[in-house]
Amino acid sequence: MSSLFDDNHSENLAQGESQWITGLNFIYASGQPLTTPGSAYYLNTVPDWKGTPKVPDNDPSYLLYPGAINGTRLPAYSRLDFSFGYEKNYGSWKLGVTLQIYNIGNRQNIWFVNYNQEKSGDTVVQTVKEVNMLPLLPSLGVTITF
Amino acid sequence: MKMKLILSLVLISGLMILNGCGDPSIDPLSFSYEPKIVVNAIIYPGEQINDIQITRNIPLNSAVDSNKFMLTPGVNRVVVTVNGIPLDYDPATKSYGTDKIVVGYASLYKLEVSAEIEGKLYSASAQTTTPTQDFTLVNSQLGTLRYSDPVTPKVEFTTIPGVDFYLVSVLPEHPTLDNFIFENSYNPNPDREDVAKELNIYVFHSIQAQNILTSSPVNYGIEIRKFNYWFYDTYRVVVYAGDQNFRNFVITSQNVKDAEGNFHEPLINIKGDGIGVFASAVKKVASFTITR
Repeated sequence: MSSLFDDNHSENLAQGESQWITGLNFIYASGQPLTTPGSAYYLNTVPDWKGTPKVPDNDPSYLLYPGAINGTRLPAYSRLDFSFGYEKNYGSWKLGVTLQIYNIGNRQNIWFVNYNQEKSGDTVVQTVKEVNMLPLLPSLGVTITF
Repeated sequence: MKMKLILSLVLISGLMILNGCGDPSIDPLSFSYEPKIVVNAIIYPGEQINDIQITRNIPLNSAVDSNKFMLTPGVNRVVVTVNGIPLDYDPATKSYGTDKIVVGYASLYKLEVSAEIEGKLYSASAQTTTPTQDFTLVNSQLGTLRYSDPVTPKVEFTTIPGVDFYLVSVLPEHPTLDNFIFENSYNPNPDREDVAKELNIYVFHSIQAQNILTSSPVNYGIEIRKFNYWFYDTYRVVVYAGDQNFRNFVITSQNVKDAEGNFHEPLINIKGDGIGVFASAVKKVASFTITR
């Protein structure tokens, strides 16, 4: 099974009322397992490049080797959404206006990660760039029910 | 009603506190590390075995000191053999070799390595079958061309039956900022500092030809296009006809990350505690020059 579908825990809470409507949606899911680089090694992928001087950045002979399979786990995913609205009944039809705020805590949930190397002195520093999911996102909605 | 309101406020407060507990992050220093013997060994039919490097992998965020990751007989009790014959260590080149073996065609060679890393003994082994025969370049002098010429250099060679992978290395002899082709066709007039920082990207180029399987030698040509040369310079062109180990390593050694960030091993033919490559290839050298 792909690690993308390995969510050990997933909780979803919701609450709502009619007329004046407030809604709260909370989602929690444990992080997915991830196989990260565990070490680095130097080896020229093309034999003739051996011994040719290279500038430190983007050294083509610097290669990454994976660590333990699924040895790291992404941090847990959690999100809190809030909605607030008013619904008016006009007999045969209803008009509702709703303000929704997605991810009200603006939590920086991690979608996936990228890796970069930077030379600092005589050390190659491995950096992890986290690519996040959607931030706080307000939206306004109008609903007509008939 | 009042109790319901209080419960709702408690629930909302609790969820907001839970949700606000710090932003998630990943610490690269927490990644697991396991020592490995790194083998860098390509053997060539018709030549003695030499220039084999035995190193180790290093933890992420380590100082890059070649004295620390080279494995030597003195420090690491390294023993390297090919077909049971021990290789000698040359401290000057920091590599292993022997004059007791001249590599033949269509022959099986087995490499065995053992080394002590951080007090623990590690071992690795691998084997390669050399290409069946030699090949020839149609022309080793690919000419002198002006960069503005519409014609680009082309290296032509005869194929080897049973070999389906060819690699062409294109390497300038004296790449500097002074002979960089700033008025190039692909990224005209780049910033000089950017070029200096990313010089490797412009210097190191190779071209792969895969799945070229022929039952008898035939002529095959590979065009060296302008995005393979970025300097007014003379270029050393090496054509490799490699075995499956060579092919697998060249193709996969840098493609080890999936789109979602998961890493996987490259295709490695080394068993035990080793990574890297033990492969065989036939190589031929050509050259061309690019002028203003």
